[in-house]
Formats: sequence, structure tokens, C-alpha cells
Amino acid sequence: MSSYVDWSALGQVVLASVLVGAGLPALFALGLRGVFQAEGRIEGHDAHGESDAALAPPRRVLGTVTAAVCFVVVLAAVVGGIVLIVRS
Amino acid sequence: MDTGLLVVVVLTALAFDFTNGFHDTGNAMATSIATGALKPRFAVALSGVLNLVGAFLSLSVAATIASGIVEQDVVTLPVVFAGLVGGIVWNLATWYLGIPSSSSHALIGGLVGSVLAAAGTSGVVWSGLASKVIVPALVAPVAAALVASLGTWLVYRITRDVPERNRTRDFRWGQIGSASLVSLAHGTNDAQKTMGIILLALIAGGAVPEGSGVPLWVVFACGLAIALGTYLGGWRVIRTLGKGLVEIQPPQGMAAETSSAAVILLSSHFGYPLSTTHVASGSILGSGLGRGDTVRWNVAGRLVSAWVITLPAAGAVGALAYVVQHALGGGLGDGVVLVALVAASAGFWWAARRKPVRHDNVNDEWDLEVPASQPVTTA
Repeated sequence: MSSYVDWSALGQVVLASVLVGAGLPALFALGLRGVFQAEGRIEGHDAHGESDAALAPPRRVLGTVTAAVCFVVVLAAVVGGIVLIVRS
Repeated sequence: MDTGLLVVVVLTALAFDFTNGFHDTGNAMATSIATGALKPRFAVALSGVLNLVGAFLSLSVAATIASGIVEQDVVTLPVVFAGLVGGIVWNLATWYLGIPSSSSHALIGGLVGSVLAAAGTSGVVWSGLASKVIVPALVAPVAAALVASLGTWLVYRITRDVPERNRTRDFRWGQIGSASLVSLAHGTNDAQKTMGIILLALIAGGAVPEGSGVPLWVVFACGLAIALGTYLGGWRVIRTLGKGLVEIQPPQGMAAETSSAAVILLSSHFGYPLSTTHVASGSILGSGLGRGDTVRWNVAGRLVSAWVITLPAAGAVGALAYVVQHALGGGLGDGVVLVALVAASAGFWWAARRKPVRHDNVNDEWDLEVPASQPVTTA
């Protein structure tokens, strides 16, 4: 069986896929959360860490910077993906 | 050399490319259609255009579809023709049943079957079949499900304090972007397989010298065939992927399509290409797991059993086509097989019309109706 499976190629594919394929959605989510944070559209937390209905106050700088960084990385990855297609 | 057969083979290859397109529309667009991120007809049009663009982006691996899987010197025009017949018939059968199954597997199965009929077991490179086709097919859905479930879990974890309404709306952009990337990658990968088949046929038929590249008209024709097929939209398959496996929300759809795009692109980058269909199905299932949603395991089971029988079933049709061709001989044999192929295609089309799935009912509730695979005889 082992001669039929290229374990190193397989390992590389799975590892890279997990990093990119799960990491990018997470970054996009973090970026969107940044946008909402800057606009004050995130639910607040009470002392026990439970979310309550009231919205937390906006955190413009933190939210904007988070969003910008995340979206730039996501865009770069998309461009990288297209380059990968063209050069394959 | 038999010019008539060469023309038939090229046209049949383009017909396969067309079925490849509409069979696989759902891989990229099912989640965007299911969540309403894109209107159904706009989604298939976008996917069609991106498939066409994708077909022109890269031409490097065109001639490699069957190399290392069947012995190249037994691949003659009649063998290619019978193999294509096997691939098309199986693609149409699974489309009728609404099952996303791999078009590449159908094509390879058909070719292996016709090679077996033509040259016996020595014509097939069994170790190549195992390492290039069967093992990747086992890996693809599992790896994609893992990636998508992790991605989905992270997305919901990160945005758990974002009110539901905002989350749903804004994630659609990520979903559309990632689905577009899958369409582009599909055009590049799958259109090239048909280009490779046509190039093989042209070389085998003596129309172009050995070692020549893909002629430009072949690139055009293949890109156009797969784009038109995609635009037609395999609504039956889209419905299964978008509504059947799990109920999809936009954040989850984005995680699923990003997982598909990443796994497809990275695996071909590392020289370990995986089936788009297996990856997409695994991703969608994984996104359901990651959200802690109910997965309809009976639907998943049907997909997996179809995947298992794809190679032998397409192979059986390919072998039968070759045997008929060979027994009748010459133009008569080719003609009979061609007529049978057209008749079978018309039959599937007619059967599908009795219980149609279209852009306007593709998103209907899954559980309220009889599955598309069980035609209602009273209709």
C-alpha cells in the first residue's frame, strides 16, 4: 500500500490546505468583526463573559486596523491563488 | 487514417466537456445559490464565464489525463471514442440522479474499460490507477471536510458576538469571491482534460505531429463547451449539494468554498491533483459538521456509494461500447455506438423532464418532496 501513497506530498497538501483553507475564512471573519467593532455593532459582555443584548461601544481604531490588516492578507491570498492557477 | 472517426471523437470529447460543465456547476455555485448570495441564473452565468477564462489561463498539463494509468500505445481512436461514451453516459446517469460524482473518474473509468476490452489487463497500469486515482479519491473528501469544518468552526467562533443579521449579509461577499475562485480553477483543470483527449485523438489520427502543443481552436472549443455546460446549470446536482447534504448559511458557505479552492489549488500545485467534485462535496459536508448542524447522512451515503461505483460503471459502459464497435467493425460499429450514445442521452434528458429541477425550484425545501432520484410515475 505504502508504495501507492506519496505520504510527503499528501502531508504537504493537507497541512497547507488546513492553513490556507481554514485560515482565510477565519481572517475574513476577523476582518468583518473589525468592521462591526469600528461601527459599534458588536454585542457587549457582562461580568461573566456572557453576551448581553446591549451593543458594546465602538472601538474605531482597533476595529479599522484589524479589518484593514485582515482584508489585505485575504486579498493577497486571492491574488496568490490566481497566480497559482496561471502558473500551474 | 479514418477522418470520419476522428471528427466523431473530437465532437464526442466536446460533448463530454459539456457534460463536465453542467455536472460540476454545483461544485462552485451550489452554496451561493442555496444561501441566496447570488440569484441562481446569475450564479451559473458567472461560473460559466469564469470557466471560460480559466480554460485559457494555463495549458501545461493538457496531455496527461490518462498517462501512467493506461499504456499509451494501446490508446487508439476507437478506444478513446468508447472511453468517452462511458464517461458521458455515467455523467448523465449521475446527473439524472442528482449525484455530484467526479467527471474525471467517469472519463478515466470509461477509458480503462475500453482499454481492458481492447488490450486486456496488461493495457492498464494498475499501480498508476491506484496511486493517481483511487488513493486521491479516498483522501479528497476527508481532507476537504477537515479543512472546511475547522474553518467553519473558527468563523462562527470569531463572529459569535456579531448580531446574526449583519453576519449573514456581509459574509456573502466572501462567499461569492471564494466560489468564483473555485470556478476559475475548475475551468483550468477540467477543460484541460478534454484538451488532452482531443490532442491524443489528433495525434493518434495523424492530424498533428507527435509532441505538438494544443492547437488554439481546441482551447477555444473546449473552453466554450465547458462554459456553455456550466451555464446550462446542472440544477439537479446543485440542489443536492446546496440543499441536500446540509442547510447552508453564508458564513458556512464561504468557509466551504474557501476550503474547496485551497484544497484544489494546493493539491494540483504539489502535483497531487484531487477531484473537484470530491473536494467540494467534502467541504460542504465539513462545513455542516463545523457549525454543529445536522448532516443528512443518507444523502452523503448515496454520494459515496456512487463514487465507489463510478470507475467500474463507466468502465463497463466503455468496455461494452468498445466490444460493440469491434464486433460490428469499421464505420458500422462506430455508427451504431454513436447512435446508441445519442439515444441514451436523449433518454436521460427525457426522463429528467418528467421531474424537472430548474433555477426556480432548485432551493425548495429538501424534506418536503420525493428526492429527484425517484421519479413520480403519475406526473
